[in-house]
Amino acid sequence: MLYNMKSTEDNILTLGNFEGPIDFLLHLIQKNELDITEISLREITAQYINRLQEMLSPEIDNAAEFVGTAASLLLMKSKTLLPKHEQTSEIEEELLDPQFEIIHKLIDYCRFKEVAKALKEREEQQGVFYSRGAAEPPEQKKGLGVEHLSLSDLANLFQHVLSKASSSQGVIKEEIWKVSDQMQLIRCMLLEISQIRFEVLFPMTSCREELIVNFLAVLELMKQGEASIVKEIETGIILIIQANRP
Amino acid sequence: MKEINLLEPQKEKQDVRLHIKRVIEALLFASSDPLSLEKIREVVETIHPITPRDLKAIIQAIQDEYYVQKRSFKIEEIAQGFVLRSCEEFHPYIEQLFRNKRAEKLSHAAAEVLAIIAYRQPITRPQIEGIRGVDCSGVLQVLLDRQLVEQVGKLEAPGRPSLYGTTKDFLRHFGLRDVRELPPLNLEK
Repeated sequence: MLYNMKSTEDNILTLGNFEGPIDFLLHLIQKNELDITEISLREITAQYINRLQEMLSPEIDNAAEFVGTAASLLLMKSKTLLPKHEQTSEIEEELLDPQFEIIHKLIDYCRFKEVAKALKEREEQQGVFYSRGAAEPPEQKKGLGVEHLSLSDLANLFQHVLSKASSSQGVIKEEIWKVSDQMQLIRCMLLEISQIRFEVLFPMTSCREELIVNFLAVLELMKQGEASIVKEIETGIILIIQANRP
Repeated sequence: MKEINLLEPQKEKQDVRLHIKRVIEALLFASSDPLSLEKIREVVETIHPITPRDLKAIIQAIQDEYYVQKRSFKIEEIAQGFVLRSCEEFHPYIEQLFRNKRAEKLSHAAAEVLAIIAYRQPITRPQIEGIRGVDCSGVLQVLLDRQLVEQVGKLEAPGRPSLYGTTKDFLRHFGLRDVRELPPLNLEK
């Protein structure tokens, strides 16, 4: 009984439509209308792997997770094939074995999916009630239209700048760059013009040393709570701004 | 505080009671957020001492009056407090006031993460992801922005990950008195 992917279920055709391997597995189980505690392991594993092979492509984000789940399934399946015990009832017991994390995960996830649906319904029902001031929707904290950059964003940014700079390196300069000097410089700049564009502090024309020292200076100022780096959401411009000490 | 006139104790009592009722109504009217019994009591006690039980009885009396008078709003107990809300039959009319301004409904993913947090709070992000099997930082941020969840502490473990729980706004959004009113998790298949 091969699972026919081109079945009437036209809404789900790619792995990308699933939230992850658990969701996918759940879908398979539901398609077979099986009770979660009585999954035919063999059947499900076969289907899972077949389906996976047909749909797996390099663009799938969670490919590794999907494959990992396939491996778990195979492990479980292989355990049930070992001639340790009698068939049928023992296998069913094994399926509920606490060691079979995946079953528990599935059951858990299943419950939450159900409850999430109930919550959404409730949200819908509550939508007919209005309290005072309901006309103004809750303020979404968007701040000033800027978002803070994460450390990895910052690292990437700097990496990019650095790579561009090294190629423009020509004459070896005799200057010595000090982080504390640059910090003072940046502090003064911020006092005058409260926000500095990233490109101004890290111009492509600088040499590596200058860039590195500037970056360290900015990081140190951030650590001390004197500055922060933000990105304007609309324009994507990156700015170094004065921050208030927490 | 006025002395109760011994000659007409009943009338005085009635007057005070009416006054208290009107004050409660005024408080509920003025506040867009649910008011706790305690908060209301704090204010009412500046008029006349009152026990929580009696206060609750008066609020119930106001509620009953609204019903009898067929007012288009009622007092409800939500998010551990009292708040005025419109009766459901007026939804189609009120809705016309702000077609596009209503807050968006939750996505499925958001509802799932919210459900997990609601039932398992306090819980960390890795724990949530363990249940869902996928990264949920984006969804979590949305829930934080909408103030349906908040950080409630940190777990005493390596990395000291943040613990998350639901907020009062969560209770409001879903019309719950408190988290215990959530339907029980069960496995029905």
